Amino acid sequence: MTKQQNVLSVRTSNQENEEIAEQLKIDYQINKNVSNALTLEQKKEVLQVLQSNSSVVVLVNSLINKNSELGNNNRKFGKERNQAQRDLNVKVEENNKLATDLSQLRAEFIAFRKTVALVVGDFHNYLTNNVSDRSEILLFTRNLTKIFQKPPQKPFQK
Amino acid sequence: MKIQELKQEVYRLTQTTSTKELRNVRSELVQGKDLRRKDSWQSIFNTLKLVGNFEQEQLEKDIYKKYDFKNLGNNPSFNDIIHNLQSIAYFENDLESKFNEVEKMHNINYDDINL
Repeated sequence: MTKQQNVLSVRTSNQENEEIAEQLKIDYQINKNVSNALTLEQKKEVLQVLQSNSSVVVLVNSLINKNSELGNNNRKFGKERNQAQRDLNVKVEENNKLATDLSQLRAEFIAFRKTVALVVGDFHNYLTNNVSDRSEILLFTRNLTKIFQKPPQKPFQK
Repeated sequence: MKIQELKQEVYRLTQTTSTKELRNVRSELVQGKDLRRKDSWQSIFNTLKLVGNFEQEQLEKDIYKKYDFKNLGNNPSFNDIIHNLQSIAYFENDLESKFNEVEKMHNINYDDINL
């Protein structure tokens, strides 16, 4: 066989292969990406079996439908998984922000507790060092009580 | 502390949940350390504690300045004590506002949390 004859033969074979694949696709919904796994001879054989046996056609259609259903499920679950991953990322970010906020509040609360202890300690020193008026003790305790009852909007009245 | 307790404290202070995450987000803390050893975790914990104490001191200095706390000696005057009491009131007010903000932002009810 000459080189030219060889090229022609390959071209004809490719064309035939394409035609049978097209027929399998149109007549039996077998996608080319599925039939590509078969050789030309195997495609011919499958086509022949399908044309002569309706039970095989039913079986193939059932497999195709099932495959399509699985494909749809796969897409659906893929979308859900991506959405879940996005939701998780948002939650993780929110959680990190909350942890930072709580950490800051905790630090400020510790500072607050220290300042209260400091002022009460100062008052204790004052009482130790000075002969205190009863009105001063009353003023101090009243103001201290007010702080924890309702935050004042205006400075205390002395 | 046992190594597991040290690990948990380190995770809490660094806001991480695993050694892998710790390596990723705080590589400066684990560099050159063998994390199978207790003394490595102890060293990381000590560093964090030191940094934490320093940050807390800085925060307290800022707060004293912000709310105009007077540094009183051994013999404070009554007026200065009342002044500092007023500063506490402002500080408490702001702290409560911050709690409310965080509560609102994260949809949390702080009434359920015992401080």
